Amino acid sequence: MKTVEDAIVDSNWQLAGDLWQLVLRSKSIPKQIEPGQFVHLRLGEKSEHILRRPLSVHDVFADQNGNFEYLSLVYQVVGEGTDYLTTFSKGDTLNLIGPLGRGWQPARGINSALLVGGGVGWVPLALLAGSLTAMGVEVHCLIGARNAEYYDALAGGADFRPYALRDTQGADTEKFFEHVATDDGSAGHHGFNTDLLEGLLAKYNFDYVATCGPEPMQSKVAAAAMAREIDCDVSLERRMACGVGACLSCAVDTVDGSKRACVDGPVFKAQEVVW
Amino acid sequence: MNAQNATNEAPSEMQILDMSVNLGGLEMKNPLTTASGTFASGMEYAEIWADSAKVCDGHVPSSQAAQAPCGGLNHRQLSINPDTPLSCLGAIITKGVSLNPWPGNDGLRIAESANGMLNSIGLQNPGVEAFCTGDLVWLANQDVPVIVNISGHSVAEYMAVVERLESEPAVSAYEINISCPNVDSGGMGFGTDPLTAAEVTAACRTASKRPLIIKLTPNVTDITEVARAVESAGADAISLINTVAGMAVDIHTRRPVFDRVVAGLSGPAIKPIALWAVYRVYQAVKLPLLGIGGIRSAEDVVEFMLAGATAVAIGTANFTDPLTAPKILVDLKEWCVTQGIKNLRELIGALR
Ligand SMILES: Cc1cc2nc3c(=O)[nH]c(=O)nc-3n(C[C@H](O)[C@H](O)[C@H](O)COP(=O)(O)OP(=O)(O)OC[C@H]3O[C@@H](n4cnc5c(N)ncnc54)[C@H](O)[C@@H]3O)c2cc1C
Ligand SMILES: Cc1cc2nc3c(=O)[nH]c(=O)nc-3n(C[C@H](O)[C@H](O)[C@H](O)COP(=O)(O)O)c2cc1C
Ligand code: FES
Repeated sequence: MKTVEDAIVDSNWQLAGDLWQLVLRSKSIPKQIEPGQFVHLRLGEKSEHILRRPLSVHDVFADQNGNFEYLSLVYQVVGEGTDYLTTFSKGDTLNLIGPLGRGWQPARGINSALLVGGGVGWVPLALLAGSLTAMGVEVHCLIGARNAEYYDALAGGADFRPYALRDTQGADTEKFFEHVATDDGSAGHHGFNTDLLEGLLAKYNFDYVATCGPEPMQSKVAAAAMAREIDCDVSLERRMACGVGACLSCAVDTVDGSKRACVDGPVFKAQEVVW
Repeated sequence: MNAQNATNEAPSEMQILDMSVNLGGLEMKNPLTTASGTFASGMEYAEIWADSAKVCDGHVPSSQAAQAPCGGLNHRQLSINPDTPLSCLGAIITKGVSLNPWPGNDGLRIAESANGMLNSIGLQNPGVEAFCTGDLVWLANQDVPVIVNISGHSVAEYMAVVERLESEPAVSAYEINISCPNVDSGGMGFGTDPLTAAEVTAACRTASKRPLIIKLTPNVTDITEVARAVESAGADAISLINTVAGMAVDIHTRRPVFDRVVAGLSGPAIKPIALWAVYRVYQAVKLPLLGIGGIRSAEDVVEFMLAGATAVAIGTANFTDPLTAPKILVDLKEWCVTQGIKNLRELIGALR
C-alpha cells in the first residue's frame, strides 16, 4: 500500500564526512518495507525544492512496544537537496511516499549470496543482508568504501553484525562474512571492491548475487555473475520526478524495451538490463 | 467537534455550492483536471489516493490534527471514492498519445531548478492502438471524463490519432499538443506559427465533433495571435500553457545537462507566465480557457479563474505532493464557503 505520509524526524546525524543517517518515525511505511525498496522524500513544505529525493531504506526497526515505526535512511551529501536535508532535526516533519519500487528478488531456497555494494550503494543491501541471514542463507558482503571511516559508517562499524542479525537470535553467525576494499587501503584491500570479485566467485559457491553502487561497478559485477550463470540482481539509480510510475523520467533500457526504475525497478535482473 | 461531525455538516454547505464548469462543450463537475504527462493515465495516482485516504481519513479528532499523518489536511477529509478515486476530478488529461510508439529522449530526462523543473521526456508513449487496448479500457470505468492529449509529427498524424479515437466511447474530448519543446519534428513547431496551428486545428476539427482543445506554447512573441488562429480554425477551447523552453548546464562536464540541450520548464516558477498568457488570451478570444502552469493550491486556482480560466490543470505539483488535486478540492470548497460563493463560474474572468 503506497501512502503519502508525514514522518517525524527522530535523529539526523553525520556518520562520517558527507555521509548522514536520518531516522524517521512513520505509521504505515516501515512495517511494509521489503529490502531494496525506497521512499520518495519531500524536502520540507516550504522549500524551493519541488522535486522529492529518492532514498533507499537502509533499515527498519521497532520501538519498545514492538511497533515497527522507525525507518533509517543513509544519505550522501552530493548536491543542494541532500545538503538541505542535513538541516532537519528531531521533531521536524518530512513527508514521504512509500514503500516504493520493486526490491531484491532472491529465489527461494538459495544457500549462499554475495552482496556487492559500492559506497553509499551499500545502503539498500543492508536490509537484504539482515533478511537473508535470518533465512539461514550464507551471506558474503563485499563493500567498497573511500576509507576505513566510511567503511565503518556504511557497515555500522561494530554495530553492523548485530543489526544485520537483529531478528535472528541463534542465527548462525558463522555464515556471515565481510570483505572490504578501500580507496586508500586504510581498511581491507587497497583498491576497488571488484578486484576481489573473481577470487570470491571462484572460492565460494554462490547461487545469488546482488549489487548496488556506481553503474560501471554494477555492470562488472553483473558480467562476472552472468559469466558463471549465477542469478544476479542490480539496483539502478535514475532521476525521479513522480517516483510512482507516472512521468517516465526514470527510463531504463531493457531487453524488453523501456522500463521505469521507480516501479519496475530499481532492482532489475542483470540480464534484463541493456548496459 | 470531531472529523465525523465535520463531514456530516459539510453536505448541506456543498449542496448550495455549484462547482461545475463547461469547457468548450465538456461538462466538468469541478474545474480541476490533470496536466498531460504528469499523471500518465491516472492509474498510479488512483492507487495512492485510495490508499492515502485510508490513512489520512482515519477518524482523527481535530484536537489531534497536528498529529494527523497527512500534511496540511488538518481535520478535513479527502472526499475520495476508493473504487473510483479519480472521480473526484472534473476530468483527467492523459499523457500525450501519438499514432506510432515514440521511444522518448536519451540521456537525463529531468533536472530541478529553483521552484521548478526542466523535463526532456520526449513524449514517450506506446502509440494510440496500445493506448486504446490498455489504459483506455481501465479509464472507461473510472467515472471521470477522459481528455486524450495528442501529439504528432505531421498534420496527418494528429488527424489519424483523432480518427482512431473517434470509435472509443470512453473518450470525452481531445487536447491537441502543438506546443512540446522536447521533440524535433512537430511538437512546438506547429504551435509557434499561427498558420500551421490553424492547419492542425482544422484537420482535427474535420475528424471529430467532440470538444477540441488546442494546447499552446508560451514560447512565442504574441500568444494571442496563435489563439485567434486556432479559434477561427474551429477549436472549442484553448489550453495554456505548455512548458517554457529552457536549458541547464553541468559545470563539471561543461556540457548541457540534456542531450537535446533544450528542455521544458514547469512548476511554480512559470505561474506568472501562465497567468499572463491566460489573461491576454481571455481578452483576445471568446473560447473557454484551461489554465496550466505552476498551480499547487486553491488560491492558485482562483487566480487563474479570475484571470480568465474556465478550468485548470495540475501538473508538476503532482510530483511535489501526489495528493495536491484532492487537497485543492477540499480547500477550494472551503474557500468558496467562507467567501459566500455559490457558483464557481462567477470567478471566471472576474478580475476587477
Ligand atoms: C531508488 C534510489 C535510491 C537511492 N538511494 C540512495 C541512498 O540510500 N543514499 C543516497 O545517498 N543516495 C541515494 N540515491 C541517490 C539520491 O537520490 C541522490 O543522491 C539525491 O537525489 C541527490 O539530490 P541533491 O539535491 O543533493 O543533488 P542534485 O544533484 O542537486 O539534484 C538535482 C536533481 O537530480 C536528482 N539526482 C541527482 N543525483 C541523483 C542520483 N544519483 N540518483 C537519483 N537522482 C539524482 C535529484 O533528486 C534532483 O532531482 C538513490 C537514488 C535512487 C533513484
Ligand atoms: C514530466 C512532464 C511531462 C509532460 N508531458 C506532456 C505531454 O505529454 N503533453 C503535453 O501536452 N504536455 C506535457 N507536459 C506539460 C504539462 O502538461 C504542463 O503544460 C506544464 O508542465 C505546465 O504545468 P505545471 O507547471 O503545472 O507542470 C509535461 C510536463 C512535464 C513536467
Ligand atoms: S519517476 Fe516518474 S515514472 Fe519513474
